[in-house]
Amino acid sequence: MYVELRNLNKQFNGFKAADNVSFGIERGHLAGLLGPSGSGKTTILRMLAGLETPDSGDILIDGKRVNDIPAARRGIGFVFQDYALFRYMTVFGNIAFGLTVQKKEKRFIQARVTELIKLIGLEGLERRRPHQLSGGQKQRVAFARALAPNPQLLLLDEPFAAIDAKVRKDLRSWLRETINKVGVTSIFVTHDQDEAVEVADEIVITNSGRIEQVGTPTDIYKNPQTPFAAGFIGESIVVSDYGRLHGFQATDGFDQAVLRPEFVRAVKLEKEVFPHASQHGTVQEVYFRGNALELRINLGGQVVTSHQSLEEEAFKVGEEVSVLIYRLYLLGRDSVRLMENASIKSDGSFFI
Amino acid sequence: MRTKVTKVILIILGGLFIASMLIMPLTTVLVYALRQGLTVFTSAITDDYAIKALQLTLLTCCITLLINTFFGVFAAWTITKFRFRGRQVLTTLIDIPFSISPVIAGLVFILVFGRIGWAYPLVESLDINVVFAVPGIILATTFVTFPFVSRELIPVMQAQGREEEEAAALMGARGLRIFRKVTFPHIKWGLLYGVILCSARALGEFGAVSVVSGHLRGKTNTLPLHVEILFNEFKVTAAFAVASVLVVIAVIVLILRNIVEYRLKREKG
Amino acid sequence: MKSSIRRFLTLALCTITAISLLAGCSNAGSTDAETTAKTVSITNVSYDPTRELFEQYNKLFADYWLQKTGQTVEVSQSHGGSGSQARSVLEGNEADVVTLALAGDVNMLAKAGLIDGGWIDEFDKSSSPYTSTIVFLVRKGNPKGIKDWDDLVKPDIQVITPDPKSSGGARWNFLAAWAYADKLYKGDEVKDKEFLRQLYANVTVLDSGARGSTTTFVENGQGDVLLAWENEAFLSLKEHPDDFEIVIPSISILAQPSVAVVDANARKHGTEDVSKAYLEYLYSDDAQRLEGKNFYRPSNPDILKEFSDTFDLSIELVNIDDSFDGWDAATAKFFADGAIFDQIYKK
Repeated sequence: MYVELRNLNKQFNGFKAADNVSFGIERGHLAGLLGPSGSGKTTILRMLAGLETPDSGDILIDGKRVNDIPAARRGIGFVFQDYALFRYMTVFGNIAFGLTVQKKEKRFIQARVTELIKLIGLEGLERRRPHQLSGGQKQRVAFARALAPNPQLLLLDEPFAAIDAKVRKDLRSWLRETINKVGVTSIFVTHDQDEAVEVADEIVITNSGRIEQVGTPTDIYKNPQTPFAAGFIGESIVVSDYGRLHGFQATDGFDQAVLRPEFVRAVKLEKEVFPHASQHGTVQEVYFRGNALELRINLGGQVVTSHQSLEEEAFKVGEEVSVLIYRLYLLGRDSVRLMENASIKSDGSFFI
Repeated sequence: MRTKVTKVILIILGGLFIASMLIMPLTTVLVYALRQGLTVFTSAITDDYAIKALQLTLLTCCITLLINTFFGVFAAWTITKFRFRGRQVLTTLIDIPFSISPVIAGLVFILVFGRIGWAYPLVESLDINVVFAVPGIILATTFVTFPFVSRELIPVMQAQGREEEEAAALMGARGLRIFRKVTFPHIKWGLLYGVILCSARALGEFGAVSVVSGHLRGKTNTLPLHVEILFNEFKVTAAFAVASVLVVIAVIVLILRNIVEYRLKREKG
Repeated sequence: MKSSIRRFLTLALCTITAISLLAGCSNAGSTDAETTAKTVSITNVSYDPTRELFEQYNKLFADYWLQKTGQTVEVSQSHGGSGSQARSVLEGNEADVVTLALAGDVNMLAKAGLIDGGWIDEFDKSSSPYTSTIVFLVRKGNPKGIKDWDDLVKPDIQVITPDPKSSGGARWNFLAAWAYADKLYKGDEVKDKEFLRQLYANVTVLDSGARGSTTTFVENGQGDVLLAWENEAFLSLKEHPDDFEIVIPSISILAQPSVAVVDANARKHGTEDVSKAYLEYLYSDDAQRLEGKNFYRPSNPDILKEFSDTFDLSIELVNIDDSFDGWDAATAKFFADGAIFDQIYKK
């Protein structure tokens, strides 16, 4: 592990921002700290950077304990949420700042900054001041500024929070590519799971100061290990009385279950395939979601969500449909179990 | 239609207020000053005591400015950039000179550095005269004008936030460099504004200075004190003449302030 | 461009500071007198009305001293209510001499050890080179018909007099009024107090010094009658001959302003000789005539006679020792905290 956190704890005035946090990141990986607001992810990032001191625990970078090393000497590049560009310096001056502090030679600085400006695609804008740049451009300058002194760890605090939705998508992929190109180990903080899933090599899910799960996006998606992880990733509906759903049995120790729209398939009554495994329900609402339809279906009192391709004939509100639930996640106190629809197997028929 | 009438009325009221409270007194001073002709005017302002008073006023103002700018920047920096216990207390303490009557401020110095004060033996042993001498006047003026610089800077620095400085610190910049490159360019105009306010107040300070001054003509009389003395000696025209010097200085300060305000707004926009 | 403006401003500021410092240093100097062979400076802390007197006297004395010793003497003046001035000397104002309104204030300094005991006999006539008394100043034509003290307690009369707590002249005013009441009520102190209470109830502005009251009455046009030092009243008449009249009451008090060398300070500054000479010279004929010209009654009876046109020499005058047992007793009885003035002035 290139970056390792061991048993970190941090309290602010009685509020536990970090509760026994431990995880590790491999060298060269791009990791995302994902969690709801106030879950402690920014605190963890700032402790890594040295902007906050943990109450207890160890922080190791490249095997060395850095708790007592001041922030400026940890070799960390930090990109702030609202860029924190030096508004009285030019783009060039901003990017060169770290190098100027290190008293590097003028020629070296000139070469390195030019290289970075080319990397971020802002040639010609060296003399501009931050207030003359767009949000996306500012973000890229902040990025270059953090990279200039060749840090061993790059930290980004909600890098896309302040950017327009359209630009955000482009910037995301650009960031991913560029970090891969540069090869620097990076950790970024976000509350947007789409972003985490798309950009990160691995995700660390935080909740109320604790780590819920660490794993690749696919991992967490397919095998959530805690109720929170199951509910947080992907769209999900919590169902309390899942025993009433056809094909599922109420199990001790698991009071609730999580359903994802991908697990729910609605077909017209005449097209029903697994009568035993399916249930009849009424379409309550139909939403247009740009690339698919979202259906809210009332299954005997329980409302579930399903997606329908636009290619198919659309359902109408009030229409009775046949709903097949493939699987769901059972939520225990601290664990999650995947339960398949038992009736499908026993039917022995072909799968669609 | 109604809003237009209201607007006009408000403007007229505002104008009347300014005219009666500001313009009229100022023009009265100038009129009275020149009432007995230019020779009386010039002899009044070139009088030995008047010139000494002007010198003392300017000296006090300059030294007060230096002290308050230095400590004001320091105080604002500490309060806005650091979290520490007692921060609120420090902020409140800085505002004390605003809430204390200047006369009390002057009395405080007498009670501390005067013959009956507890610091007197120390001051005596160093052979310095504090109260009833120039240092006392400077101290009193500094006290009374202290909050101006820091109060101007604190909101500006707070609005700036700590992030830029954090970013700079993260990259290894030390305090002085951070101040020079990040903080100072931002507070430049706010600082200048605070300095101008401070000097305007320092030039005109009467109460606190009057208490600690001792009214020694030619030695511990500032310009405002000198005006009072002239007035009390039936030399009304001379009093107004000297007062008009203060008015001129005040107008200059006002103009400077407007220029700075204009530049401030331009920077923000 | 911006940095060059900043540089210019910094330079300007430094220049101004430097000039002011130089100017300040060379002129303000230290309040410790430098006694070189050529120049000496002393500080005279005086009471309110004596501004014009000492402006002229200092020139007179400087000429005399230069001729006598070849030394140039510079006198720094300070003026204010006598009590306030005495207090400021107590608090550290390093006066070489004090020329105050009454012996009581000088006593305060003696009690604090700043003046050696027995000071009152150091100079002639109980250290009072000039005397004065209390008179009324009224508007020209005397529209309210004020003739004597009993007119002052009438309901629609507005009186201007300073605050006895800070002004020496005010204390003389008060005692003169008390003397009248005491005579009128044949020593009935209850009635005396009531008389004074009514009088002070008619006071509309209570300044801190005699000159302040004069300014209030003369320049600001407040009040119907000013209780004033005689010299103040004359001075006001001189400045504004058509606007005022002096009314001499039936009884008044011999006001004896006292002078003394502040021995502690004079010793410290090394100015004992010149300070003593400064006060001595107030008794010289030239000085006495100067005082008379400034409407102070010279203590030298021959010279006083020269001014018989100016001063009414026939007023009935009580004095502090015979009628009031001296200043210590008077202060304790009338002007101390909670004493008679505080009692009657409770609004």
